[in-house]
Amino acid sequence: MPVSFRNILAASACLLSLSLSLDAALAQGDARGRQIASQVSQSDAEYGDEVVEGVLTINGGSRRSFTMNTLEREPGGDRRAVVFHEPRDLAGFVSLNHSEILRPDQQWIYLPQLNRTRRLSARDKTGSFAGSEFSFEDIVRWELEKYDYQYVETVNCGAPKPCETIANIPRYEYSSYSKLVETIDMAILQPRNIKYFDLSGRHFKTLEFFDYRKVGRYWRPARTVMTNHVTNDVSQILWSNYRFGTGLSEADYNAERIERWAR
Amino acid sequence: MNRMLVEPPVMFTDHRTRMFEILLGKPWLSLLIALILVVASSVGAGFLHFRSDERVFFASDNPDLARLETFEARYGKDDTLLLLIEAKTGDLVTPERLTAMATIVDDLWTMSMVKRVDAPTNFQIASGDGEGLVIDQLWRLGDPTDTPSLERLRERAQQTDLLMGRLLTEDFRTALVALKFRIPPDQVAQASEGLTGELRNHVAQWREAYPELTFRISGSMALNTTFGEASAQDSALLIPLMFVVLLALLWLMVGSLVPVLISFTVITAAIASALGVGGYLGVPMTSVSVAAPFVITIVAVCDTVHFAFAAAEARHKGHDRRAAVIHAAKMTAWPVLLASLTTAVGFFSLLFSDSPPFAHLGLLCGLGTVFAYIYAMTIGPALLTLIPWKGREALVRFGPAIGRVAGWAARRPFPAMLLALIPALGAAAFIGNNRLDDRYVHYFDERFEFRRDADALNRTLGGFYTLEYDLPSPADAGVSNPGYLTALDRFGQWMRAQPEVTHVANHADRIKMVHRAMLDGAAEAYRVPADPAIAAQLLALYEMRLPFGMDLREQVTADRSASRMTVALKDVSTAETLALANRASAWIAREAPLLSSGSEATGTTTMFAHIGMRNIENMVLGTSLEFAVVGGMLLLAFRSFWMTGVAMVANILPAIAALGGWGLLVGEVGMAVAAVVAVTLGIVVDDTIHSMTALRRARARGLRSAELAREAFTEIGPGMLATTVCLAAGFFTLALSGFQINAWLGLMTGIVIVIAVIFDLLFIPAAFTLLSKKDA
Repeated sequence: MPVSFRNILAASACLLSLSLSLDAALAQGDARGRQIASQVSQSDAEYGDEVVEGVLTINGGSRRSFTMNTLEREPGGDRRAVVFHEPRDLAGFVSLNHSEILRPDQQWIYLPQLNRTRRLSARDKTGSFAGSEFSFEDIVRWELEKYDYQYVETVNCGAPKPCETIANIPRYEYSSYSKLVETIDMAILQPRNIKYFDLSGRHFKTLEFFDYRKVGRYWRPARTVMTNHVTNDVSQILWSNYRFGTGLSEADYNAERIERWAR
Repeated sequence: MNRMLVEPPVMFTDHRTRMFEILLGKPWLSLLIALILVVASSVGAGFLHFRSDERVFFASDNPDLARLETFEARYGKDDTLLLLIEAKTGDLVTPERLTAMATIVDDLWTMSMVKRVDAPTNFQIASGDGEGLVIDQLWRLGDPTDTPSLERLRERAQQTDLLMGRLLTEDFRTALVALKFRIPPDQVAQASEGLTGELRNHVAQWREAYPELTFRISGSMALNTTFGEASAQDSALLIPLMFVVLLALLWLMVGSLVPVLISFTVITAAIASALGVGGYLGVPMTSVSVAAPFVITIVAVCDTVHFAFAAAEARHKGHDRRAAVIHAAKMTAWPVLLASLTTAVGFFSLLFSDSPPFAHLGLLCGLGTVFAYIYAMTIGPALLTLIPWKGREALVRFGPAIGRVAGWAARRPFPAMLLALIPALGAAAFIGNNRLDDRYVHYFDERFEFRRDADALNRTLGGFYTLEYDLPSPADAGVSNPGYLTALDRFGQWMRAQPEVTHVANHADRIKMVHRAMLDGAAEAYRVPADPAIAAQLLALYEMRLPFGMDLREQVTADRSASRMTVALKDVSTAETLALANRASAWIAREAPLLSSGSEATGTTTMFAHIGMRNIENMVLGTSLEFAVVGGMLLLAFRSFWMTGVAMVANILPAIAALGGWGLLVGEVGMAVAAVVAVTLGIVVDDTIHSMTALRRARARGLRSAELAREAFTEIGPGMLATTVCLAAGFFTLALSGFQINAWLGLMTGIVIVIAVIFDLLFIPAAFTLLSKKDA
């Protein structure tokens, strides 16, 4: 649900009601949730940069392939460039993102055929990723400080260690979500699935992670599937060729030089 | 009255006497048997289900429906509610009103099953200047509301064809919020009513919160809800009203309450059995077939009233109850059977209708007529035997007056015939004045909030009626192909220039808007790009900025091979809509053959535009078959070709005259019109059977000319009067329905019945006199 239309009041009212709905052990739950979240965050830290190929399909069709290049910045938000390769008329289309913690992200796009770069004024990150069930919000790298956390439950998920479920509550304005309920495989410190709740509190889509493999120090999924429960549409991304530490630098993410990604 | 109207076959006479003696010898037994039949059949009513969606009007093999379903498989089904927001003074672009609209849109997103909310405030507008590119909501809570910002907002809105005239009027006074829902298949039946109710509750609160705004509700789901409400109103108000009217009339005419109450017992049992069998057969109740109990009552009253009259008259003459009942049974069993059969044939001929609700109405009424006969001959006599009652003289005193009219007609056959024929043929000449129009908003009169709101929508933005196009790009080229986009753009421009059209939304407009934004808002960039890759990239860019639920899947197919064009129309007749669709096909064939595979319009409006003619085409066959069957029955009864011929003319002409008069006075007919001739023939032929029989019997007694006619009509006149009054009163009560299909069916049928009785009084005695002279 597009959240974008929601005002701060509504969002905070939502948060308020959500926190009220949790029991008296709230403070303790908060600490435990945040502790789990930071564990996950730490296990994924210090990779420098990460490059991966993705193939997106929507309901089994309309294939799009892209490369996602992420630069880790600590402190501060990450940088990311998504370069499309397929279909052919999209080849060289670049979306460049400067993630901010609590301010709106900055985004530029480059249209190779027009050879033009434009900054996209975006107050929100609710836009769809390439017309799929993924929103930009789901694609941008997850930053610890963007959310408040609440511990929900511990479940046996068939892994060597039990899975922990926590609720992530966005702290930034114009989120599509009232909360994300994430189940984390504690053995690898990676999410198994994330349930997305819209601002009216309805569980409307679910992201599932499949086929984790260890790439260097990091666990990465080979396949992620987003199911939209409102429309029953399913988007899938196949991930391949994860690379870490490829030597990307801050300069590569300068908006003035965005067209270099298109090559 | 009703003495031996038609001579029954000898076999029947024998069986009849024995049958009634057996039945009346053990009234409790025949009552028990009838009761078992009533219970067994009416249990089926438990299987009845109600359907109030507009799709019910279309048979599953209707080609227009098939095309719409293909369209929906590609672009999604539009289960829509529309909210019209109007500023009482000034316009909507003020800080308070923008806040109100944005807040309302937020509230609407919390509705159950909502899939999408399109409003001016959340319209994803693309604009650009040197600073950057904005693809964002037109206005959201927290956005600046200083005067320059609002001026800028107006300017941006005005430049956006996809927004103006669709979601916002040019004067910014009226806004439309379109809600789309995704309804799980198992909830389709209740969803419209539930969601319309939910929206009405919201609106009630907003009316309090924002007194300076008016709110109206429309859309396909509000339409469906109103179909349901129309049926409920007809059942809750009109049926009791009609029962009271008919009960009072009958009591007045029969002069004794008990036979009348027994008649109504018979009718109620007939309705229960008919609905029950309908339930077993899986017939859905619709806003049309809900009139079945109504029609069954009216028609069955006529059948039972004959029996009641005969019995009451015999009682009056001093017979005891049992003797009076046996007398009445002997007198009426055969003619009422004949009349019931012709009536039932008329109803059953509706099974030929292309629109299932009419077929269902016909089926239920036909069954009801048959059951009414069965119960009139079992429950009726049994109860009349068991319950104490007295007979009184009532209508017989009208006999001589009616006889004098018929006598005059026989004495002066030519003037009498002309008196009947000239007005009838004169009216019939205007039959061509009738224009078919199935504007479904007009199915509901101004008593319905839906109608008032839809009219307001049509006055301001328009767009309740639409033409939908699924326009595939030529082989593998895709929607970004410049040739395709140019053709689309030109087709859109041509459509916009048509007088019936209020708004056109197509993919070319979207690409033009983003292209202009990308090129810093330059006016000359508001065009289709010449390079397919540019168009594809602009589309990807726009799509990237659309928030959840606002995607383009309802506009462009997932494989990017085709796009949709929606043409919003003014409040024009369905005939004008069809004419526009035909002009559009011709334009495409001539000017943009690239689009020719998608040149046929679809959508609910188009379906309703075709249904009237399809119904007529199908009913021509049904009605012809009915003519043949009724004619055959008359031939069997009269054993005379010329009498059958006169009877048929006397019964077909009134329907034609009524339709002509309708053309003169109203000039607009809907899909119900096809049913009128078929239904009325079966009903009005009864009185003709009675008149012809009486005339023949009088002739057999050696009477001639005027004396013959006077005698015959003095005898049957009271009965004719009674049935005509009941039928006309009943159908005119139905005409009070706020649901136009039922109201017009009632009104037209009522008019035909009145004209038919004039023909029976003037035309038949005159023709009989003229022709029987030749015969003799």
